[in-house]
Amino acid sequence: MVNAVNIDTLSACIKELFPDAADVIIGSETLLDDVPGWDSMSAVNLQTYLATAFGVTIPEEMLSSETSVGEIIEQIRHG
Amino acid sequence: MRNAVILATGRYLPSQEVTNQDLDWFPAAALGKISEKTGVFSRRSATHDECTSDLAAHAARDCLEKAGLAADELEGIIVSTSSPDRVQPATATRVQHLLGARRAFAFDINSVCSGSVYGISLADSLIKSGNHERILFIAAELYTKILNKQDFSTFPYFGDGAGAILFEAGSERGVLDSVLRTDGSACDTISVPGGGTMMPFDRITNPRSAYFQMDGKRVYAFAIEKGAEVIRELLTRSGIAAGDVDLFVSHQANINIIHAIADQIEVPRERFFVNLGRYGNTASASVPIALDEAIASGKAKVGDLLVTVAFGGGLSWGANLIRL
Repeated sequence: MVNAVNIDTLSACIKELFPDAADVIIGSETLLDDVPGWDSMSAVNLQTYLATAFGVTIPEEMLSSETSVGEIIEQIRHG
Repeated sequence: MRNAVILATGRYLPSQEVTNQDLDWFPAAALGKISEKTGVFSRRSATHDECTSDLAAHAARDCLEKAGLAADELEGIIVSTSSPDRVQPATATRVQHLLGARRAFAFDINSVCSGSVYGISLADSLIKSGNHERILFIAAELYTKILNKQDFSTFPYFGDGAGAILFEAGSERGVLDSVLRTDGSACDTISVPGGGTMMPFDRITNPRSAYFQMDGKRVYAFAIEKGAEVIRELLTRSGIAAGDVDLFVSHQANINIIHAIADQIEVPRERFFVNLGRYGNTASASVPIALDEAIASGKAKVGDLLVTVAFGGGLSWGANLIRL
């Protein structure tokens, strides 16, 4: 399941968590900071969501505004 | 000059205290962020059976008791709330009934977190009109029932509570001036998207849309900029220096916002009354609750010059200059 994570699945996760991002195109290069509604508090929501959905805990230092969506995907795939 | 003079204030905070450590469904490592990012250590939570009008009525009774006034002596009741009992009728109508204020008209205003300064200005205007002598303004909020309990970006910030201010016609003291501002182009920044006519319940596809949402980063920058700006505007047109204000009673949104506003207008941070560490952000109720606590603790005394300032959904913001 973890290996099946791709930009489409993560984009869907982000859009579910951040309703303001519903109309935003999210690609691998998209920075977390570019997701409408993203901040250091909402980062915890993404961390919790990914832990529940994929059983992977994203390290807190990775949940910074400079991290790209592609880097999150790689972290989920390779832990 | 005819002014709305503050005769008494009151407050009600539900007895159930919820500390940050009690929010144990969030990751343990994240709990430390709450106080660091917001200044909130605990908040109050209403019971399952309590609704917003119950909180409002408690605060109103506290206020009326301090004033030595019977509820049927009230002419009007204004309730500020962005977490009403129901879409209609106005929450204020049940408050009027609970108080037994049979002579008073009653209606709601909703300017989200800035509802306090809007309500104070409105009560002042009703009294200045010459048509009314005594108006009770109540701000009551019960956000724990409109928040998504799983949303770390909103739930830890808020708490439930109500504050009340009784105004009576007078002169010299009272509300001296108010500035109210709105930028409706940013009306999506803070919202409960679902359940209204824009997104009726049967069209909600994302369950999160049924709950309160905010763009935290945008709100943070807005609050600091406009909070400081509106205080400067209010004081400049009144010809008063910030240093001459005895106490600033700000919306209790976030300790870092309050400190940044104090720094921007160049007054000591201690000149701003703060209680959000204990109650969290109680939306429009935060200013009346803080005002009542400031008076009770002796930090605000009769004759003092106060500035109340608030900012929030709308986006709306404003400030009042008050001689207590």
